[in-house]
Amino acid sequence: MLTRFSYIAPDNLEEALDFLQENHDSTRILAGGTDLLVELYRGEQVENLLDIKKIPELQELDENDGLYIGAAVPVNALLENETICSVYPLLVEGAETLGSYPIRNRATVVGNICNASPAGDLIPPLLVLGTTVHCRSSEGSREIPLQHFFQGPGSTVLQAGELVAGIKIKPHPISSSSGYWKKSRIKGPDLAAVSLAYLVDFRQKIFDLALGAVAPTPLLLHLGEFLPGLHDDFDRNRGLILETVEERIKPISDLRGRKEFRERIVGAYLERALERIQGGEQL
Amino acid sequence: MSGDLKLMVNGEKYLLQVPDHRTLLEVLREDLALTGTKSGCNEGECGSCTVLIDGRPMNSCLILAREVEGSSIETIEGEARDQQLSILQQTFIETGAVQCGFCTPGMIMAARALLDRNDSPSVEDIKEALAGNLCRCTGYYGIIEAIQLAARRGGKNHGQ
Ligand SMILES: Cc1cc2nc3c(=O)[nH]c(=O)nc-3n(C[C@H](O)[C@H](O)[C@H](O)COP(=O)(O)OP(=O)(O)OC[C@H]3O[C@@H](n4cnc5c(N)ncnc54)[C@H](O)[C@@H]3O)c2cc1C
Repeated sequence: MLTRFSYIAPDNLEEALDFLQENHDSTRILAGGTDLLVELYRGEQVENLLDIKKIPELQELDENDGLYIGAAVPVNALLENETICSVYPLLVEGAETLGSYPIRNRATVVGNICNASPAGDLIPPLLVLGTTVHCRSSEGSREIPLQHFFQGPGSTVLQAGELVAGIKIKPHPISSSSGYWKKSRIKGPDLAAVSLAYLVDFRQKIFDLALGAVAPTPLLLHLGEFLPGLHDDFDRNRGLILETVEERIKPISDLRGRKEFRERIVGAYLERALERIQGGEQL
Repeated sequence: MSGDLKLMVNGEKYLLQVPDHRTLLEVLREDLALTGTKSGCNEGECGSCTVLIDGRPMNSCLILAREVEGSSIETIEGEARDQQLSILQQTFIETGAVQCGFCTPGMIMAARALLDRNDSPSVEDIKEALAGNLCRCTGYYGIIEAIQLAARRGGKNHGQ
C-alpha cells in the first residue's frame, strides 16, 4: 500500500508548469513511475504526483535533424523506431539493457536522466552522442548540456518549478566508431556495476568517452587529442588514455562490485574500445 | 483525493471511484476481485503482476489506477474464453510449465504479448520477453517449451 497523495494529470504544459510553480515543495513529477513508485513503496512521502504523460507536447519523438525525445516517450518507443535503430545504434544498445520489456513499456528516456542515478543505462550513450536537456518552467525555458545536468547521485541542476520537457540529440556523425558495454551481476535486468560508451567522429577528430557507475555522477571525457597518436604509436597513447581515465574515476565498493573490480572492468572495456577504434579504417 | 475511473477489463466496462494512491494491481485484486494477477515484490522485479494495458505488458504494481483511465486492460482471467482454456494455457499444462503456479498468470500475460507481436518466437526472443518474470520452481525450460508449442499451434489466437 502506498500512503495517500493527490494525483494530477493535466493535458497541457502551461497548466502543469503553473501547478508545479505553485506547489513545488509538495510535488513530484511522475513519468513512467518505475523509479518513483519504488521510492514511494519504500516510504518516501509526497503530497502531489504530477503525471506528465498526458501532455501532447511531451509525447513528441522526432528524428529529423538529430533526435528530439519528449519527456513522456517510453524507452520501447526508441526500440520500435526503425530510423532510430539504424541511425543511433548506441542509443539502442543502452535502451535494450534497461530493465525488462514490461519496464521499458513504461520507463521513459527522460526519467532515466532525471532520476540521476550514476548507473542510469541511457546516460553514457546520450553523453557521447551530444545531448541537450530542454527545461521548462512557468517563467521560461533553458537548455542544459547533459554533462552539466547532474550534481550527484539522485541530484540534478533542475530548479524549483522546473521540469524537463525533452532532450535533443545531435545528428549522428557519419564517419564514426562507437560502442557500449555494461557489466551487471546477472544477464537479466539489473543496474550496471560499470558501463562505458564511446563515440569517435573521425572527420571532426572527436573521441568522447562516457562512464557510468564509477563516480557520483556519470562522466564524460573528451579524448580527441589522443586520436592522431593512436594511429602513430598505439601502445604509448593507449597508456596515456588509461592514465587519464584512471585519474578521473572515483568508484566505490557496493553490492554491485568492489572498487577494484570496477577499475579493472573500466580498463578492460577501454581496451576493447581502443582496439575497435584502431581497427576503424578511417584512423 | 479520489476520482472517477473508466476502465475496460477483459472486455467489460467498469466505472469506479478510486483513491489517487491506489495501484492498478490493488484495484484489480481488491475492487474487481480479479485475484489471478499476483502481488509479489511490489518493485517491478518479479513480473507476477504483469497485465496488458492497451496490448502491452506492464507491471501493474508500479502503475496507479488513475494513470490508466480509459485504457483497455487484459488479465489472466481473460485468457480462457467460453469455458475453454487458451492454447497458451493448455500448453503450459502439457509441458509442466506450472508448479506452484504463482508466477504463471504473469508469465502467460507476458507470453500472450510476445505472441501478439511475434507469432514464431525463437528461444532467445522468449527469454528476452520473459526476462522480467521470475519463476522459482520450474527452471524455465518448461515455460519456454510451452510458448514454443503454443506458437506452433497458432497460439497467437486464443483458442483452436
Ligand atoms: C525492475 C526494474 C528494473 C530496472 N532496470 C533498470 C536498468 O537496467 N537500467 C536503468 O538505467 N534503470 C533501470 N530501472 C530504473 C528505471 O526504470 C529507469 O531509471 C527509468 O528510465 C525511469 O523512468 P520513469 O519514466 O519510470 O521515471 P519516474 O519513476 O517517473 O521518474 C524518475 C525520477 O525523475 C523525475 N522525473 C521524471 N520525469 C521528469 C521530468 N520530465 N522532469 C523532471 N523530473 C522528472 C521523477 O520525479 C523521479 O524523481 C529499473 C527499474 C525497475 C523497477
